[in-house]
Amino acid sequence: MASILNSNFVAGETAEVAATNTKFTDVQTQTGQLNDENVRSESIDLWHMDATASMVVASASQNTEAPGYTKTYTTGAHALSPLVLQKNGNVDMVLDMGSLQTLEQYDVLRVYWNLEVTAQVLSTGNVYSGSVYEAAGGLFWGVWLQWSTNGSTWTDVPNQGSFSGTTIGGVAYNTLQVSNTTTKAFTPIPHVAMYTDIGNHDIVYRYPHNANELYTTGSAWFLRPTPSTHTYRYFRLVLAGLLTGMNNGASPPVSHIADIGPAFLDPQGTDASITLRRCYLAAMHLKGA
Amino acid sequence: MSYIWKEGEPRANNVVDVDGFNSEYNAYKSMLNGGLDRDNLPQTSIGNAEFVYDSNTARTSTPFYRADIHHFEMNSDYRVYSNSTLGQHSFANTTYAAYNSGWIEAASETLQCKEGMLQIEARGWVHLSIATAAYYPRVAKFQVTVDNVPLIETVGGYIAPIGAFYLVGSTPVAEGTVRVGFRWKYSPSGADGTNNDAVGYPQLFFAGTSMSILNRFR
Repeated sequence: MASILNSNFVAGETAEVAATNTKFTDVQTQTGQLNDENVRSESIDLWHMDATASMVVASASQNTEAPGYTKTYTTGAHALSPLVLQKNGNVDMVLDMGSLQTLEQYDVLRVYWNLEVTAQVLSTGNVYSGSVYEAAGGLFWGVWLQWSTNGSTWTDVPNQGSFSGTTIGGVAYNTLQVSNTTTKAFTPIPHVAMYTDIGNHDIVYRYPHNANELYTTGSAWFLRPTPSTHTYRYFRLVLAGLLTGMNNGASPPVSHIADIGPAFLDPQGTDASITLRRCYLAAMHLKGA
Repeated sequence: MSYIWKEGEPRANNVVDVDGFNSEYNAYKSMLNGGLDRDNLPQTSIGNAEFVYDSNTARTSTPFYRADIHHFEMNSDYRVYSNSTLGQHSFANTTYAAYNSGWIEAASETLQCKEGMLQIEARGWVHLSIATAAYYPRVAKFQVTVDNVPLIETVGGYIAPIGAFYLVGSTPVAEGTVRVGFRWKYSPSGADGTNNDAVGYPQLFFAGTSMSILNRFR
């Protein structure tokens, strides 16, 4: 901190040139020692900012538009070619940031989504038999986030992995290996049927168990690239199912999300399905911090 | 408003009055000794050069906020259920052989904060195995702590077999290092009157966990 401690001139004494100069030399010297303690609290504000006061680089949102619009997705949508969540008019629900954005290192990008499950159709049977249904890892749909620079070529967002062929327990599946860089934009939705008894081929209705029991869920994805940069403009949500959890039986075990959608049929031989409405997607890009 | 520098006394042909000199000079002193304010700094004097991130100090000089995104997973020493047999496969859940009860911290992060508000968000997804559960429903809870004080906790806990979780909250913070922690808890083993929970069966698994930590300055 700069601090001047010299004393006043005293009335009746002669003011020498040297003493007078010293007082101004003190000012000159201490001016070079200025720091934050010399400045009053809150003395620097928007007045001094060079027109860069906003934290927000870009923000936008998208939704299914018509509140009553619903869309039914079936297990045919397996994970290697997931279905894009759609909006009113049965067109893809795409969030457009308005222009190509550059995510600089240390910028903060946050994307949020929310959706409502209105129905998951099952026929009358509530007990399935068959090994594919014996999923102690749960039965669920998966929703995750993709982004694009041009609206036509899409990739999973960073820290969200892709499904690939994997053999577990001697059976070939398409799986997503769970790690610290593969499910950061993944949202599971529980299927109505859940396997409840290891080894006894028993599946019962669990959650939610009828069309009147609406289920709302949502999630978020955060990215602060260090040190890489990214460009993006569009976001969309995709859905696949049915999925289940597995591990590879190793020590330590490695978890996988396995796609059993193509094999999943209810006792009457029809695909499982899920109906969604009121899907929301919003993104906010903050400048680096 | 701070003192404004101007051409002061003495001037040529004026008799220097000691009180006038002292008064003028002391005004300079007092301004410099902690009295500088916005009127001493020109408009737009802080530009891009001052906003650049400083990799040496791992912080930005931008006077708006500081942020961090922290990605982590469930503690590896609790991810123990290992079985690839069809019909018994599940995530690498924790078991009651590994988990007893109580809060387990999965991750923590420190942030050099300035006085202001700290906003914390946490996201992820959780699987509760209901397979062969002697006592159900079981409950998973998640908690965000700030300097080891619980700040955000899931109300009631998660009981669905699988689903997403999201927590958000804010708290005032003082200048200094703030430690943000994330911890989890699960129902202890139960019984249905006849059978006890098997200690080797899969119980809880969570993944896809990220925390967004934003410190907005006062």
